[in-house]
Amino acid sequence: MSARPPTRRDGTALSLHDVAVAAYLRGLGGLVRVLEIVADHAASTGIPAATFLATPIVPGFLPFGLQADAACEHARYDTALLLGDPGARPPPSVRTFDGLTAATASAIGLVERLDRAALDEAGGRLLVVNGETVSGSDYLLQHSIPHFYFHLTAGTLILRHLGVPLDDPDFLWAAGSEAGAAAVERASAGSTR
Amino acid sequence: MTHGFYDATVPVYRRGLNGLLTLLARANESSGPDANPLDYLGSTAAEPLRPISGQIVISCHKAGNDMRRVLGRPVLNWPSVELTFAGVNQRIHETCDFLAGLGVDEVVQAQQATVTLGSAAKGNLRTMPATDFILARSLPQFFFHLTAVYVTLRQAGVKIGKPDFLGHL
Repeated sequence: MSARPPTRRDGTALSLHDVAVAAYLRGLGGLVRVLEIVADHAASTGIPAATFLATPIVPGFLPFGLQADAACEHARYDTALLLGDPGARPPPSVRTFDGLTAATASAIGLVERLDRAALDEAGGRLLVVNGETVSGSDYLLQHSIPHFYFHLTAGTLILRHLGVPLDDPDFLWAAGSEAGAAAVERASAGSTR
Repeated sequence: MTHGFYDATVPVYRRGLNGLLTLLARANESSGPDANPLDYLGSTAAEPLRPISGQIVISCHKAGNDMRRVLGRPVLNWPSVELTFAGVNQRIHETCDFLAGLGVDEVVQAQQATVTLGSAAKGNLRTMPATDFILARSLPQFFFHLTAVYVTLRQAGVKIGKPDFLGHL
């Protein structure tokens, strides 16, 4: 369980695993909380949860379900890219509510199992992405994680626009909190069953 | 990660702010002769979010003032005035210049610092390691506010795509 933020009080430098894994887990833990809130809202309004996944708020802008899937995919694919050849990046998948919940739990499980030494070492290797040569660590910190946060935030704003009661923008990063950490634990337990 | 805490902060904030400048440039281009880019600055994505001008100012504070906090420097208080299009661009540039001027060593050393938030008067004084403050709070919130600007501009009809903002991935 490493959803808590990285704290290095011993003076050693932060490593890529410290920073990246904590960011993905925090964001995905927030997504687990968001999905719980969507389910509650669907139950109390009688609106199917699937509606919140599939309703776009701007033409051409991915709806929440695809934004959330894209976030999961950044956590999974981008780290896999550092560690080897994961093949082509798949487009975001249209999923059912349960399918998205499972995909989120699966991404959490994958990130939790990332090998610290292997990821840190991969951070020092260069890779070419869209014609740009970057180090593995810059790829995660400057490209992957900003895109990851983008999709999580976009998904949140879409849900708010659709009337889902997500009152505090900070909830999205709540995996460091008790509720968020518990949500990650639940999702993580589900992913290993 | 060659430079630890530096690599995780300064280039990340700078890249995000540069993306914001590109978004604003697109908004300016697409505003045309009969629309004012200032119209966009007052738009808001979803209540109770702040309008774009406020989102931009907060983004700059997340990047600039949060780094000042971990470096033990006084934070910048910009006067609360209605911002023009040139005004928000100016603040983003100022923030980028501040970040560009930070030395690798001073930021790496700031990893050891602690940050105190809240106030004794309000009874919510709390201290946390600089790494937690930046990585668990400041950076996620920074990207939240940047993304709020993007989504609001999309809703307002500005022709932008995610690559304009964060590059292709």
